[in-house]
Amino acid sequence: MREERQSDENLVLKAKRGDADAFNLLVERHYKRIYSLAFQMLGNAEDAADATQETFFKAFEQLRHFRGDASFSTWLHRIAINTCKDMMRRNRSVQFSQLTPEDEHAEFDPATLTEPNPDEILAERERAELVWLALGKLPDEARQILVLCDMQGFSYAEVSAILNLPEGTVKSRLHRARNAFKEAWKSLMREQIAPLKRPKGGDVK
Amino acid sequence: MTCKEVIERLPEYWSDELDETTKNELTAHLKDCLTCQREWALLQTAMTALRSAKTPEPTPELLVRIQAEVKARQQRKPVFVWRWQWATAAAVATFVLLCLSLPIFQRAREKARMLTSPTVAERTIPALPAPALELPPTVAPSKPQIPSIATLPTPKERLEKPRRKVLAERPRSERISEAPEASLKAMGPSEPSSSKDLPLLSIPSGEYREEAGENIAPEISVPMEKTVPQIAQLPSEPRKVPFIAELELSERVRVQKPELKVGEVSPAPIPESPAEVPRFAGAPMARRSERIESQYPAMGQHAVPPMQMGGGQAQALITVPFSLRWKNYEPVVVGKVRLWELSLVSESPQVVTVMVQPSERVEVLNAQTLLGEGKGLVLWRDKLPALREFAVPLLLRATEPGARRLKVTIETADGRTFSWWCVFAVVEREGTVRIRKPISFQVEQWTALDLLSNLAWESKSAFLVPETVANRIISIPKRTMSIYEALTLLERQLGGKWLRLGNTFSWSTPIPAFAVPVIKQ
Repeated sequence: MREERQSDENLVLKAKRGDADAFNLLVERHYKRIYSLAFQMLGNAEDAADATQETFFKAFEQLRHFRGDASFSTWLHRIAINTCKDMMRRNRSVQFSQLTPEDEHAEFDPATLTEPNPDEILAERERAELVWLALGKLPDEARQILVLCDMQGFSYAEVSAILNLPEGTVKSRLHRARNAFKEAWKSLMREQIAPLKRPKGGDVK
Repeated sequence: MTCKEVIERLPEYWSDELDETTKNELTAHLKDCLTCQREWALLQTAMTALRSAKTPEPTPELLVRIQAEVKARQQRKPVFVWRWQWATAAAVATFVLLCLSLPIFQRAREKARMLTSPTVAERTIPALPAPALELPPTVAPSKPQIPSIATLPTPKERLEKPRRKVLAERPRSERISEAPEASLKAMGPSEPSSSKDLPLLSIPSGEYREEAGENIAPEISVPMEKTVPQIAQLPSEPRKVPFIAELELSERVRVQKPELKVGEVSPAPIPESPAEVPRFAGAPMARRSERIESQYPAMGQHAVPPMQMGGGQAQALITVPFSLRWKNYEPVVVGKVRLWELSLVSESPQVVTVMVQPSERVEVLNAQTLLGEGKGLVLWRDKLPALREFAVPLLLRATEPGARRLKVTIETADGRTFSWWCVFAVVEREGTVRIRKPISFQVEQWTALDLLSNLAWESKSAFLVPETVANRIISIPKRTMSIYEALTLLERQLGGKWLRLGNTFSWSTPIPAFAVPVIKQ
């Protein structure tokens, strides 16, 4: 007989009573979503994996403080957002930059555009990387709201619960963030088009 | 509506959240205004890209790792719960003990009052010029007058008096350094001190206070002789809950034990790089988020500052004490002299010799002294203060295009050596560094050094890796991928990161889990 799917609330109750398997079931249920959120916030796989595991460890340690006012998922996302923000703050103090998609585009070489693309996937990857690059140019506040609303697809009410902000504030911040994203996108497009206009053999750096 | 207003409201227009009037107004404006039309198109493209951007799937190992750690933490959890339970129990027991003893205490006071006529004393004392200073805090004169009660101390005195006595008998130094663990040991059956003093002296934490409390409470109402054997039995009882400091210590030891196989050979021979130290399944490298590592902000490439951990003592650290990176890389053009720099940081003061061994068709112009076969040329030799960056200049000239190598070795005054490989491109003429270029991989197995040579040539950039990393085998899927992708693949397989400065990439290994100080036991 198929085992009936237990609700998050049930599993949380069990986990609170010390059932690690119940918590691990919650991990299994949510880790992909938390990872994708972390990736969208941090822009690279390594940090996203770090943030994901840190989120779950924090949740596990703090589970007894979870009262169930919001859903477990909301609570978990709140922890994830805070973890990502902490990591971004920490990473900023690193003097040497790490290899990120940004590096790749920092010296965008138009020559590769004229070369036949090995496959379509690469083009898609490039567009996605431009998104991370544009997101990376935004302030943390704008990035988190875009990630939650436009990438994770949360409703205003859910985002307001995650960020602990009134819905009105969420809306106004989201509109500002979308405009900021558009501006970042625009400047990236300009950067890409500019080298193409230069004469061949010139310094493209 | 002005253009500025329109642009500001475009996001709401896009998500269809405007009221009808504003919406119509905006639509009308968009029809006529080219600038706003462009902005509108841009917003649409950007938002579509944002919403359709795919995020990669996490690796299955991530789930396994999290779940394993959750299990491990759960196993550790009950100990903490117990500790609190014991503390609560102790508090309750103390409270009950006080409540029980209160009537006896009051009765004793009443008796004492009747015998010593305290009212007289109270009246006479305030009349003295400075009574508080001259008189002891307790009404001393009354004591000798109550011989019957002197043999039956109040419960409070029972708890405190012998302790004070015993403490006073012991040398001061011993008293100061009296760790709770030591007092636990003092409870051992071989301890020769009197059974009456013992439990009172050696109450180390909640659980013992409670046990002592249980025994003391009946002691008040029962004759002395009966209680003595009861208390005397106490020390021989096995300890069920470890003491706090001990618990943390044992936990740490337990956590680190499997990884300390290498560290146990202490004082540990310092390997050339963390990669040299064998890894253990499950946790090949400490992740940045792990508590162990977060205590050590990564100073440089492989450095772990030596420090003490909580109750444990830093005995040996397995680490490479230098951080080495390239600076100012520009592709080397045939025949031209290029000046690069090596950024060298040491975690402790050192006297070092930096040596280079250039491959064929490469010259290092500022390295002269020949050290003998296999040792290379001396590039720089000096004192290196701790944690201060030194830039070692490197003048290079290459005679033919191709991917070239250079081995850099740092030798400390005590003869230890640490080596790195530098792989770089020598080109016909200046060009751009291209790490996005797609390459088709036809071979699956590579040594990291060979792969990097290829990547350096293709991307026209330079890589610096510790020798041990350079010798590792890398599996590359036979397909086309960008150089960038291949580099991230290396990161994943070798468990490190590329730190980029300009057009050079220096390998940085995260501090390995086993670089945790060995705890003295």
